[in-house]
Amino acid sequence: MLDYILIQAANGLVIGVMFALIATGLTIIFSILKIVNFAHGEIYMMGGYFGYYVITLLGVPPFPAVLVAMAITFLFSIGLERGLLTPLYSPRIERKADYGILITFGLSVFLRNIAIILFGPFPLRPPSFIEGSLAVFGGLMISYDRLVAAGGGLLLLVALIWFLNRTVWGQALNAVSQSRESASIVGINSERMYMLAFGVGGALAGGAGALIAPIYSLSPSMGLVPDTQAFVIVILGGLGSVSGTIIAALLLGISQNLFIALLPDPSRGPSYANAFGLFIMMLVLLFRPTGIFGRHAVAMD
Amino acid sequence: MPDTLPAIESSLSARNLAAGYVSGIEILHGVSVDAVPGQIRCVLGPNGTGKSTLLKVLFGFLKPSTGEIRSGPTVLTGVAPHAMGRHGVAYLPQRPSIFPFLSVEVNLRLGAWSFRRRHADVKRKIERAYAQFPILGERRNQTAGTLSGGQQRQLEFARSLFPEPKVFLIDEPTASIEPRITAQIYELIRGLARDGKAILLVDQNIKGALGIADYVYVMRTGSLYTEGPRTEFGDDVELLVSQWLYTHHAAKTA
Repeated sequence: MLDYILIQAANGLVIGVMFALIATGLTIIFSILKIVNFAHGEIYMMGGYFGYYVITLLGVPPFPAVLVAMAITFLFSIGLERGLLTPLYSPRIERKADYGILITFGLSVFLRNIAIILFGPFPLRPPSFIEGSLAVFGGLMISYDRLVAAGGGLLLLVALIWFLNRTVWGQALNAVSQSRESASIVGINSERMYMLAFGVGGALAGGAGALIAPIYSLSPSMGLVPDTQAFVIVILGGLGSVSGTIIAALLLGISQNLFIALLPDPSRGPSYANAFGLFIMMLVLLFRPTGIFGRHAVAMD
Repeated sequence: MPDTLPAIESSLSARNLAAGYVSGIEILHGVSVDAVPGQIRCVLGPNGTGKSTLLKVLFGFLKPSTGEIRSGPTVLTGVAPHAMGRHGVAYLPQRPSIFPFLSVEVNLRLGAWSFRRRHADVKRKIERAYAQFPILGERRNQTAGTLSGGQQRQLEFARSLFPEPKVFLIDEPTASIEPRITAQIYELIRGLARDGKAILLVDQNIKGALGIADYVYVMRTGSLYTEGPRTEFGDDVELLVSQWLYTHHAAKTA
């Protein structure tokens, strides 16, 4: 029994790292552009497909394919930002939050359907990073692909934290999230930061999609569930806090998997997994509306 | 127009500025001001007359509906705020424009954004800032939001010097700051003028501002009521105040 719980916790950690990649992207976009990106799950999905086709059509090995997929998702996201979000920065648009919701929600439906047309409705599975499984905890197995996904994801998160805290571009992003006015006073062009934020956020989601593809396969609707979970995590982590988001993602991933594992009827567990996350979110919103790690209120403007 | 001052070329000049936040409702109606090297020019006037709006328009946060802003031969009307530094203009708004959740050191590094690739230059300027304001050096790793109001002002001043601007637009530098620090801040502004910078100062603290001003603009309900060299207004601050207060009052009751 203990072995089973441990392996479920390990699986939860893998999922938690994937959640963290998706949710940190969402939170970066939220804190810089001040919009909720409802198409974030679809960008994660696109990243998975980019990785798949980079491997199958271009013959790139699986590991570098993750980086190539991230680069493509980065450019793809910037294209979306330039094409659809620039009206947000114009003083002529008054209800910016509403515009952001409508345009990203529409984009999410569009991308999901265009994926069905382009990639087909059936699940696709790229080749494994490393075939086989590691035997742990007396007979229970954990696949190498899961270890690669968790390890790769953690590396990306460390790189992200380094970028945000140690590079002048990361600090400039942080500055814009704190005050657009002050940022422009020191000469930072906020529009370039919006591009960068949307690109980096998209690349993180795309990386998650490419890392998780060999485990769960790709499908046009794969972004729906992680997207919901990412909203839960971003709220838990306190809107706009990257470290809070990472901690909340790991906690949710692990606790959700343990919840599934400990449910009396484990076969029903997975169906309750989403409900569990949303239940936690309701509790947090009731008792700590700024999130567990929220540092300050964020105004939508 | 007074002719007691020698003709000096201004670093920033605005002619006939009209502007407002909502179309159709103007806050400024045809204001002309100059920022002149080595001079502190002070914009005074009652609350809500558009003094802060004037500085926002000059720095590009608000586009004027008519009028022109120039720096020598360069037209600055319509230039975005983030590009104003390149034209030698610095802006210190009423609330210190620091980044409260970033450390003092990172705040200073961001002040060097426009020349961030010249690493040696950035480092030298940050060291110089620490030498000028030792408290900033002591607290370099603290987040800027934990500094006192006066220290935040010092941080902002130190940072604004980095790109070596020619013009400083300063809005209420001593608002909600303890009196002991107030004198220091006016001394800082005076020092800038001595270094040949052009200062345009908006202030509610009439006594403090007149104590350092070379030239005075008095605004009333969105336009210039009167202007002239500080000496022309005499030493009687009370008179000046009552003068525009009285006319303001008279205009309201008329």
